[in-house]
Amino acid sequence: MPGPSAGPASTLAAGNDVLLVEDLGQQRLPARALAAVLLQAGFGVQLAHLGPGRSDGGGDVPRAIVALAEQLQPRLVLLSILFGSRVPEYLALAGALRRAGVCAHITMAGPLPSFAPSELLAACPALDSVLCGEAEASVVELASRLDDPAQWPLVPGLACRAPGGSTRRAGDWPALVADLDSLPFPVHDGRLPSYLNYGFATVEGSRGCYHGCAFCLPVAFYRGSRGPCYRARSSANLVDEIESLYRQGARLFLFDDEQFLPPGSFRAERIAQLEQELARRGLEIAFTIKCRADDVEAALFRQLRGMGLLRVYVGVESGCQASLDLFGKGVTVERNFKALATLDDLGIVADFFDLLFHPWSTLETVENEIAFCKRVAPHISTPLRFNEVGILPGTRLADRLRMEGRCSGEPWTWSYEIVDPRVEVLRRLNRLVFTSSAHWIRMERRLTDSWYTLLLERRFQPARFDDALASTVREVVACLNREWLAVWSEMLEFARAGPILEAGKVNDAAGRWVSRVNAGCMHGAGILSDLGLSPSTGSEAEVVPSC
Amino acid sequence: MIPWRKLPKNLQRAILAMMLLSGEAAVASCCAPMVCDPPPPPSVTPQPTPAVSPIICDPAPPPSSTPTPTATPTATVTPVRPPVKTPMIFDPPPEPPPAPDSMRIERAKAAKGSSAPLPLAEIRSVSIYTDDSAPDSADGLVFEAGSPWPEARYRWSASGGSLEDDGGRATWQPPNRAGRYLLQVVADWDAAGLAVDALVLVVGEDGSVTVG
Repeated sequence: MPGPSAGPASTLAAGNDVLLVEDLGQQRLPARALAAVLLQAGFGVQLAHLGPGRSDGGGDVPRAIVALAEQLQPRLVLLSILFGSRVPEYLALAGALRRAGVCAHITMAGPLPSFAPSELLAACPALDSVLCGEAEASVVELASRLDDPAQWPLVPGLACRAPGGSTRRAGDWPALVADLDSLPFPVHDGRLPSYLNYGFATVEGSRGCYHGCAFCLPVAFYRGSRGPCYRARSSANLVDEIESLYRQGARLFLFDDEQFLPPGSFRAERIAQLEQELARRGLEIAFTIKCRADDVEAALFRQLRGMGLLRVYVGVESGCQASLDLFGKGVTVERNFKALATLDDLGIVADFFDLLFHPWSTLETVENEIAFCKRVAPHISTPLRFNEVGILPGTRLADRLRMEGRCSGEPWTWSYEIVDPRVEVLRRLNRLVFTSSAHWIRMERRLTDSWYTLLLERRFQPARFDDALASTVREVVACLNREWLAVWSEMLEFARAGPILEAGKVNDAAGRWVSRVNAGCMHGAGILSDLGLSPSTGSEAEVVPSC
Repeated sequence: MIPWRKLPKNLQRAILAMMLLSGEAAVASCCAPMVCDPPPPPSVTPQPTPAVSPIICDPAPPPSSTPTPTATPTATVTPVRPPVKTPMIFDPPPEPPPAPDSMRIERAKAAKGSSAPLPLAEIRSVSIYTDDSAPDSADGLVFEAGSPWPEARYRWSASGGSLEDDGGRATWQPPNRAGRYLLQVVADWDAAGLAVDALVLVVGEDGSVTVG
């Protein structure tokens, strides 16, 4: 098993007050945003990267981070959590830091820890506190009051241990920052990652979401906070940051907004402002966004494509109406289909998860999902991604599952078992055949890279863009998707009529299905190589700032 | 060999269709030399990535990146803020009512299963290793399977060539035809768990074999 990849990052300011740890390879902003407010308040900050490793939290400890902390002896270590599955690694790191003699206050922040502070503190004696809620204001407060534990209760949203050992929450979560323009820009420490010599950076034009999906952690997080659930920066402020990054070499911008597009009546004006501001400053950029299926409207997305939109993550989630209703999506299967078809017509690459499994899945819902995938397959240029709903604390699905007494495991990623054993075995097969297959994961990444190669060329060097090459990549994807769906048809048939509860027969069949998927990946990768779409240098390694 | 990009489009499609629509690894392997020449450079043994339960609203993944070489890192200067303009803010929408159709899912009847534990209790890990100590001879290439979980039953398969399966070891005799071949091992613990690893073996025109 690989150990976690860890690499300390660079000094952002003199002094060693705060060490901020996050999976920086995810290109997300929370740690960088917190670093910015700490810097602005005069604290010295270092960012450190904790890449993916053991999910059970045992074994390998990221020694590079421990060594860095030993060397720096920061006063505060902040663990920024992006994924529930990574929590055990961060808790293991906290323990390792303490064993190494690091006496800093160790805290944790993020939407997920905000909903499970007591459990986290109980699970990890090395952890001193959890910063609940949006932490921009509270982290500065905590850094300012570290030396006097009696003042910790004054830090809004801080959960810590009371003298008796119980968890003490210091009041409500901090109020959301009402004016996002008042925040400093997230730090990028002058070294942007690049792809094919195009620098890229993550930016955030807004925070929160004005919808209410039942599985969505950010929705629960912002609803649980005091203040408006959706806030947008002014266009001028956003383009100021884009321009600053542009001057550092960034050309590809990944918008990490939960909801890039504001509500209907503000939408056209917002996009027009951004378009004008980018044009006025001569910023020719490429970008990606996230949106919902019911946001996709041909004229608007044609305009966005003209501004440089390459790729969209569409929150399709499901092709089964009963599941969409359960998720509180407020969209229809037909709308999901139409969104993908529209984006395809516009030449915008769409990416989405199909959440085949959730705690209330039945054979019928899974069949509906696969039927939907078959229907949309001709209209997409990315590989189908079969996934399952993670039950995250604070969400309405978590509440419901808990009321049914079906939650098990730890609250940062509740485990569940599907009631119908045939469907539960299908879910396990999906993990084995697809989502945990190294060949499948690498193929998916390879195709992602291939599309970025082609789309960046189309945007910035249109004369060199090879339409036939793009068609061939699309054909490779189509072939792979057909193969995946053929495997799925067999698995469903096996579940309906076959011995899906007999381990020996399941294992034999699983080996054959994995073999087919791996063979497809092998040949797909071979074709991409032959087309000159080889993995770029460093594509196998996570690239993060280094010492 | 004609480069892939110079092949007529119809021929490209026919090759792709033959390779992947068939769904048979063996058929695909037969075609491999036509489209996989020259073979790609060897790479490291794939490392299993733990399945991650995503926070659903993750963005499309960024491209794999190459670090931009820079000199000594410098402190970030917080840019001067522009004049404050009123940002857009929105109050939370009302809590949506429970979805009536979701009841349909709840009421769905579960199939009656046996009381035996369900298959695939755990997705475990297994790795294929090249046995460097084995003599490199005409007898073939020797591979070994290893897993942290003891007492697995191993099953080997290959998409071409001949294979001698000896439990935790397998000897693979490459085929005469150049191409890309899949060597796979399944580690089986009955209902307790299953694990799979696979290697791509690239046979060159000169008969050399590279682990891809």
